[in-house]
Amino acid sequence: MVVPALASVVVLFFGGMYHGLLQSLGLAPLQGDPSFTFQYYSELIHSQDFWRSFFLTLRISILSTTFSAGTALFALYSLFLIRTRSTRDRSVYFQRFFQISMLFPYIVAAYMIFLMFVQSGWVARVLFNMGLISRMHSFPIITNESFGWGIILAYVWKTSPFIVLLLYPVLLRVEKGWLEAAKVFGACSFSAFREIALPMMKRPLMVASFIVFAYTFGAFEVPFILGVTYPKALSVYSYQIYTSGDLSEQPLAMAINIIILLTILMAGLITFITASSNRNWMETPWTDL
Amino acid sequence: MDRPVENLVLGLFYMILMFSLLPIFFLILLSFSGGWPWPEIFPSDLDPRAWKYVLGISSGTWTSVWISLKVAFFTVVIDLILAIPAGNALGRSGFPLKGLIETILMLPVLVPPIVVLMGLHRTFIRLGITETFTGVVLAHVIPTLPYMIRAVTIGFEKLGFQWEEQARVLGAGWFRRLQHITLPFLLPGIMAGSALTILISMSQYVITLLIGGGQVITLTMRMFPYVNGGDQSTGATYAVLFSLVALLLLILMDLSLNRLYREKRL
Repeated sequence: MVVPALASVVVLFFGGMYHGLLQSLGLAPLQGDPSFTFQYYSELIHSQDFWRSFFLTLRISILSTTFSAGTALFALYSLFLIRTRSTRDRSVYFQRFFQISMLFPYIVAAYMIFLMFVQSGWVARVLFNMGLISRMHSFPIITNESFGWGIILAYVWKTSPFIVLLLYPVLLRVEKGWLEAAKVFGACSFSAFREIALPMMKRPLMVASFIVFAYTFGAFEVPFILGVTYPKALSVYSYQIYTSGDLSEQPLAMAINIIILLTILMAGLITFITASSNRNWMETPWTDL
Repeated sequence: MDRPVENLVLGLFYMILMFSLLPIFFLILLSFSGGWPWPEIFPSDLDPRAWKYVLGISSGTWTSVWISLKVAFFTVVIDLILAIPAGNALGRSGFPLKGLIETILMLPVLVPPIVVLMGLHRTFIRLGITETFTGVVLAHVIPTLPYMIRAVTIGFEKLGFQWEEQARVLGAGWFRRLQHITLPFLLPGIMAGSALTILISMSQYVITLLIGGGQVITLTMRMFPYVNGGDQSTGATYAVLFSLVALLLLILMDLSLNRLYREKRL
């Protein structure tokens, strides 16, 4: 009964990927005879433009994932405080509230960040009226600059609620009794969070962070809106080569895609290995995601 | 940590919450502004000009809303046709390679669409379905199907076999079993999966652009030029409209589900 679904995924998803792989290796050329070649990969490896794009994308993804996980952990600690401080647990409402930004598509999120943080944007206006900046141009350029702060902001805004969503159920499994016990031993709320909740959350946090990394490393819309013409994020770079009209360049775009895929696979492997090496001391039923 | 520090943490958390909602408020304000000169914090000139343009017939917004809904609807239908049998198998029976198959079905969540898209584009060109509605729907199935399968599988896990078995022992025919047992168990999952599918399908830009070749103009496609450097009020209006349409669909689905359960029609 899984066959129809499996077949669709294989044909559409793996088919698309496979075709891209073949083309990047010169095995499915649009003109001429197929011949196996690493030419396109070596062309990329020797291209400075490619490496600048690659490291830009890597930096954006790593920073987005780190800030997003940091924000999520801070939110979770706050929810933990809200939950443990009063007898009625109101943390679920705050959690819902925090989730609102997930309803907005990435394009809209990118646009909002643009409008808020562009030099003539709202944040600059507020600072100006408070007398903190003297002119529009003294506000730092955050959107459409080559470091990618705007892209990172948009990703953190969208993905930190996602991490909270995945980890909040784990927080709910921390029982009041354990916290009582911690208090008896003189633990404050922060050490209770660190010693009890955090170890439980460690593996789901790694999985969630990996999902965020994978998404931000290959996503197109946000860097397309908030990025600059040079250097481009890998996905944008690949898309523009593909649609440039020069058919002989298309295998290059496919090769970039395969490199995106390989990077994500590597990150997945690292996550998996780290997660399973932590297993021994965490092998308790409730640490499973 | 003592109380004052905790209060500080909570204060900061409330501030982050507020700040995370600020852009939404700002977007709505911008959509109603005529001009908004520096350094005004609130626009002095409120003008529904952008809304008049966007909601007017000439802008093509309504056609795009309709196309978006149609694409989302057919994506949901195809997803359901594929996900229900798959969820049935994954949710309540064991078979060889189950873990592997489950992983394969979930992979599209982790692999960015752009990696798959160009190869798919070439295949679709050969099949002659680029620049068509069908092509766009098929392409939307890729990023949405994993969520639908996951949601439906959870429904089947809860259903198991014993409830239907018991109803059969008590003499219920297949229709009454479907109506009173199977559907009530599965519907929340189906609804959740459909809601996610609609949200994801409506938000797609690059997939629709490449496979649709600019011929299938969904609301996102219509919105994009304004969001990417066009008139800001119009861009903001489209963004608000888009979010409203998505939100409205989600609320409608939630309400109809609740109503079905309240009236015990299921």
